[in-house]
Amino acid sequence: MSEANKEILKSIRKARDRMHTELILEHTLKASVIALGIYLFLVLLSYFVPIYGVYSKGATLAGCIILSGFIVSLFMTPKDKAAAKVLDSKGLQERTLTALELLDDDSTIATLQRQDALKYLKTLNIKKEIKIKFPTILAMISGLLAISIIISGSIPNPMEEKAIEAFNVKKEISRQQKEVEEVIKRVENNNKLTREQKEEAKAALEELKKELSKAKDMKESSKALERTENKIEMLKQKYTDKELDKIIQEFSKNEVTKDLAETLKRGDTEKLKSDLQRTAEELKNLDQEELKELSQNLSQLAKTLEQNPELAGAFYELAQKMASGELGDLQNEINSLNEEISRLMENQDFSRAMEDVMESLRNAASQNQNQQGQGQGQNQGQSNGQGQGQGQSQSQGQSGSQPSGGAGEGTGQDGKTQGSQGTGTGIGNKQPSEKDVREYEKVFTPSLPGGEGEKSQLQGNKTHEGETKEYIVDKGIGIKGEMKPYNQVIGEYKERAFQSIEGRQIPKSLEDMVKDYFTSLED
Amino acid sequence: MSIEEKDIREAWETVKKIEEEVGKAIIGQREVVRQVIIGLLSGGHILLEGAPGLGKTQLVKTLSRVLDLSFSRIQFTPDLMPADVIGTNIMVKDEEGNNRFEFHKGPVFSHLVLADEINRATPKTQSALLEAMQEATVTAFKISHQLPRPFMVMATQNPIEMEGTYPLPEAQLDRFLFKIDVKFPNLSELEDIVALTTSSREPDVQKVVDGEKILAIREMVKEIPIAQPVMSYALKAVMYTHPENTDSPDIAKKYIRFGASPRAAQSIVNSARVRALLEGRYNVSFDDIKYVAYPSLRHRIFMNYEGIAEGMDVDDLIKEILQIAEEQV
Repeated sequence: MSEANKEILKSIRKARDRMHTELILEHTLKASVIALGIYLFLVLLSYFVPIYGVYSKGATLAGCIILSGFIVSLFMTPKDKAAAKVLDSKGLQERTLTALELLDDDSTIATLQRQDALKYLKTLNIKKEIKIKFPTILAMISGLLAISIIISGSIPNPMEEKAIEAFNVKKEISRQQKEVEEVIKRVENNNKLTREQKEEAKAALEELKKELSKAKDMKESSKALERTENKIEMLKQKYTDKELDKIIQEFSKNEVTKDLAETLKRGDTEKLKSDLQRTAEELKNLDQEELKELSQNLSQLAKTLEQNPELAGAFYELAQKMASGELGDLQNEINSLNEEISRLMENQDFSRAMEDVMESLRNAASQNQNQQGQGQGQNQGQSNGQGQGQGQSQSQGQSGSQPSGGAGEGTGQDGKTQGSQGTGTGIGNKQPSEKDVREYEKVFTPSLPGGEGEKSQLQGNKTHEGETKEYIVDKGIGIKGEMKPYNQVIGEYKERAFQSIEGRQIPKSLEDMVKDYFTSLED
Repeated sequence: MSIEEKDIREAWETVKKIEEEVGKAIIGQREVVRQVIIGLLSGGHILLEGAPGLGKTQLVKTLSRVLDLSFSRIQFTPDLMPADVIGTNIMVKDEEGNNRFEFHKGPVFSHLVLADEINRATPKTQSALLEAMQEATVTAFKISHQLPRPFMVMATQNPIEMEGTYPLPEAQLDRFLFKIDVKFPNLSELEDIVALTTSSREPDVQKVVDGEKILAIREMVKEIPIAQPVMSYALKAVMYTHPENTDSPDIAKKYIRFGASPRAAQSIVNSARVRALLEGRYNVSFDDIKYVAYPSLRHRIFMNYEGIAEGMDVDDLIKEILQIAEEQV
């Protein structure tokens, strides 16, 4: 490149650098006006709409915008052509622009033109002609905006507390969502669950996630958690084998079989056989009366397990041996009992997994309560339709927080007197969880003895042992009961309603109306 | 073409001399003189429009004296025939006494032709000049005759007295490089004119350049570079005279019926180069374009009824169009 060309380019770039400096100043200040404008707008908005940490957020945003403006302007270097145009506007009559285009042209006219351009460029004082103008107006606007923001900081914001609260709610819901995610993973990784069980549990949990994402406050998130807990509970009910519960309950009554009951509760199939062996050994130490009583109880248990003839048979055989006092070799009985009970325990895996899920949901909900500062409630639920008795009359009850429903009609006899007789409808109550601390409208809930929601005939002799409840009903219609918060019973009502309409021929729209009504009550 | 610095300097000095010599006989009208010289060096023809007595004919006559070129003047009248302009075949006897036709050249066969009051002749006669102006040839009886080079037609017309005139058609107007408005001189110029023309002294006008030199300068001018944005400015100025062009300014869309032809763009670029040379520059500037745009576009823009009814000045239109074109370059 010739000296003339270098000189021309040098002059052009000198002009270009000055233009660039001015452009950087202008863009950065423009960006700061925009940034501070947005910042002030957010601050003002926070007086009407709760915005958490508006000053820090605004400052970060403003900083980012200003920095972006500065960085972008750094890369917006004016082109040589633009600089040449600016130089030409200082009276050079497009000499620079033409010279720039002719830099690679070696013709005489091009050389003459470049020399001519250079001659004029040398007479031009670029520093004087191309001044770097500081955008004073933009700087003043930025300053005013900054002062306004600072002043606004000293004015109390009535929305600040709401903003903090809303932020905490959002954070908490987010935490709950993460926990639900964890629970979903655990369900997914649980090898003991069948594909169908996993899918059902996951569907309920995914639904919960969706509801949580839509929840606007802790009340809504609590409701969502509660609803899901109910669904999980229903799933648990669906897959839980109640026969095992009957066995556990029966084993719990006797000192000799108490440990066995604990093993069953834990679901420890490996320990089951050794416990059975040990119990068989301990039977030998019982006196005749105790053996007889235990034998009767086992026989009675065998009767209640009629739906599982193998299991009932195993109990019955053991009871027979005990009744006849043949306690020498119980190996066969122990083996068959071990085999049948182990089979039942396999079905309990889902129940335990669901317990785990429910526990996690309860934890999430309880932390929810802590966040709200509402304290903790107590799991004070009690099942309805719960009955205990001895002798030949046994009814299965539910405990804990599980809702149970039952309707029963029965006649109890104690040999001499005619026992109470009644019919009624039992409603499975939904137990209030720890998070259920608010007041719900109370509704009348009939209380009835009974078991599993089916009619049952209570037979046998009434003794004075164990706990019994006796309800007197008029004309066979149960009217005894108590006032309970409706949220404890609505789940059952809803289920009943759904089952009821499914069995009837009613228009689809009406069916939906009924479903919507009950769903809205649940909400 | 290889150009040396001295050639350019010499050309520049020659042009300056022409200006000086013409200035001796033509008082004032400096811009008119300059535009005529630009037209001459661009190889175009010029239409001079102005009221009678403004020195239009005098200017052309002076120019012919300054330039060492042949000159002829044709006074256009309604009964002027094409043959009166281009020439005709006449019967002559040869040396052996046989009759034969011989082409007798008309006044158009001169380097400089003054077509005085061109709009007074019929369109037929006006058209006789078309081929001469465009091709620098004349065809008579199927034989083409080359006109001398350089060849330049300078036509005059009176814009006031329009009765009995035949306005030049668009196609003919487009053949003129420039249309120059000859304005009335100011008071001091008028004083000088009166002093000069009513005394016995004749201005001493020297011949400064011949035809060869003019042709050489014309070639040299073509080498003057024009930067892309400057070229773009010229082209946009022409484009924006077209009302159908979506980018044209509103004023063009409102008042113009037909815009300038591509010849206008050629005229602007060529004449801007000459103007740059006259200014002693080796490149064309925006100012050059602006300077030559008025005479180049003035006769090529045809206003619509609205423009005519509102008495819109075509120079104002051009001014606005140039301004918009400059903003967009």
